[in-house]
Amino acid sequence: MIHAVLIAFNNPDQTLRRWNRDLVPALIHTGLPYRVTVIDNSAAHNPTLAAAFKADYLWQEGENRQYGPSINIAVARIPSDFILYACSRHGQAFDPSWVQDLLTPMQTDPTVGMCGFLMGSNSPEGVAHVTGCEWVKEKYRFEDGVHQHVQGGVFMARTETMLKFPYPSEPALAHLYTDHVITWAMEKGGYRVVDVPTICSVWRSTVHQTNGLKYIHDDAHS
Amino acid sequence: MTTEDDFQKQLDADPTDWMTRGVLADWLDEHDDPRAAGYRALSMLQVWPNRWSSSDSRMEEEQWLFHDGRGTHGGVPIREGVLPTAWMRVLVPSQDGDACLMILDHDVLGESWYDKDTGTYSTATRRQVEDFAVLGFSKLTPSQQSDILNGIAVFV
Repeated sequence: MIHAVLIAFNNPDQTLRRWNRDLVPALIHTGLPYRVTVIDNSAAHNPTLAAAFKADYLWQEGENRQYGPSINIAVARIPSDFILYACSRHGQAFDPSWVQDLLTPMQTDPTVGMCGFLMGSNSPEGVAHVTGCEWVKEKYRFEDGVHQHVQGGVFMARTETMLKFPYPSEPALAHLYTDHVITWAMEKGGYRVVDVPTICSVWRSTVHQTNGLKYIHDDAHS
Repeated sequence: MTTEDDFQKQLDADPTDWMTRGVLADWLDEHDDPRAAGYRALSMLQVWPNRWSSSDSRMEEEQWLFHDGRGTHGGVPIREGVLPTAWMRVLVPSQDGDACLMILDHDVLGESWYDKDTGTYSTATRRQVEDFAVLGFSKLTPSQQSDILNGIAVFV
């Protein structure tokens, strides 16, 4: 089963659009059963989202739990094989087979822990510049290699790896560097992270040329 | 007579050359140029803008991160972001509360980065990125500038 995770934050319309327009057709396309959890970090309870998602809508009582801890809450909630995360605020599907493209490497290779848009990372030494994150340098020291990470915004992960390597809960890492740190944790744990060429996820940027891309997460698409 | 172009050519040849960057700051001071303090700060921090080039066609613009020489692999600087938080917030306004480490081509070049008619992109130069950064430094408060120069500024 695929467990889709959405995080709403004062954007109920975008959250509904992401689910109805971009995720549901693609989840149906995989032929696998699916569920969804919507973590709502908004200040106010949203009756529209509550009506749409019923028991799968989890308003956090007005507390913004941030990105990483929100995903941790969702992952622990429903037993599943795979976690599918898509940013509710930004993104757009261009082909309903985009989730299958994420699913295929997970199904064919049990050592793949996470997949999506793989890009070059800051090093753990860089993250150690962040106040309160000095421990990252030691914990994720790698002997060799330029680091890469699965970019946040849209990804699929094996649920067992997400449970084994939850996002850090420290405030400094709850929303920043989360995608770097989760990738390093999985790689340290013996899992691989892989790139899916039809997926693109960038931050603070716009993708103009969509040739061949089935899902784009950027500032322009919502 | 020495011109700014002479200094900038030297920095293009060796972006790590913090001494030339410091001399440039003095030269700019003598010409009442508002970029002087920022170039001096970059020289004192011994950081320079490092272009993160990707051959991946999905990446349409360059990402620039200021680098201090640590975290190299095979002689190639890997991505670091070492400008203090307050400075970065002036350069790249916060998005959803996030602090940002990277400067993108469109931050430096503005709307001209992408030509809609031809579908082509422009890439910023090292000099343009540094000018962008040092003008941001001039917008910091004296207290923030002092914290940075005294090495007590907070990183993201």
